[in-house]
Amino acid sequence: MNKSVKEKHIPGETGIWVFVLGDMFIFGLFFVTFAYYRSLDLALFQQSQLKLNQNWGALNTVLLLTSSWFVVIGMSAVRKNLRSMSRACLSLAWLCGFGFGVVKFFEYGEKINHGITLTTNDFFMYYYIFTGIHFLHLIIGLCVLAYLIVRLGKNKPLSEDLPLLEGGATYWHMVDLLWIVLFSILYLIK
Amino acid sequence: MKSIFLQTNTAIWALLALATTLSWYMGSDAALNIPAAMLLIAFFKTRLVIMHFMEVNHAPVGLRLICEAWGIVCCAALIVLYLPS
Repeated sequence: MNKSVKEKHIPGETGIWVFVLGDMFIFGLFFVTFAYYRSLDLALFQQSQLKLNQNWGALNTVLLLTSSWFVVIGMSAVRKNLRSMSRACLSLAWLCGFGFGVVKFFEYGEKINHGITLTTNDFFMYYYIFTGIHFLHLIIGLCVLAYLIVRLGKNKPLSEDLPLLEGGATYWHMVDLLWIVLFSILYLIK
Repeated sequence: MKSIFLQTNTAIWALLALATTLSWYMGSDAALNIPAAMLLIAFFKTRLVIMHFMEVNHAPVGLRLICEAWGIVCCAALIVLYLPS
């Protein structure tokens, strides 16, 4: 194991990296687009930002970071052939991810109840579109994690499923890292 | 089993949580709300996730360079666009 870690290794199939890097590039364009339009109407963006609850955003960041950490521990367990441990870790990761979804659901509900929608202004248009696309990624990630948890329950040798598990883990970490930037630019930086 | 939790990545998770707390605090305090510093913290966090959680620090140099370039270009572009404020 130590030997293979020291060797150069791409986790998962190469295809997942094409997808992940493509997604990161697209989100990179989202971040820059947001920052550009913000610079054109700074007052509107700053006033609108004050209506976001940054505590919800912070809680969601911690939930996704913790979820990612459980996936990392789960992958270590897979490599050590600890099946039930890896299943437990991925299940906890799923729960943290689901928690993110629940918080987001309440956050969207709170905004809509206050009459804040996609058409309120440019800031909220970007807020709903970017967090909405991210939310879609989260739902796909939760389905992938659920599939991996079921897969770990079967009596197949763990080594056979390693590329699949690594690919799913890589995707889930990407969901986490994109949120880190979204949280900073949408909620925190005034 | 304990050894699984006692790994570098657990310290990385703690560092990420600490950096999140710091940026959350900076976000709530007008005097500390410095865009460039907060963007550097955000992209430092994404780099930790990419290099450690996604295991890119063990990947071939090509993938590593692409990931580093993504962080540097995005962070630099955002810092420039946030300069007027």
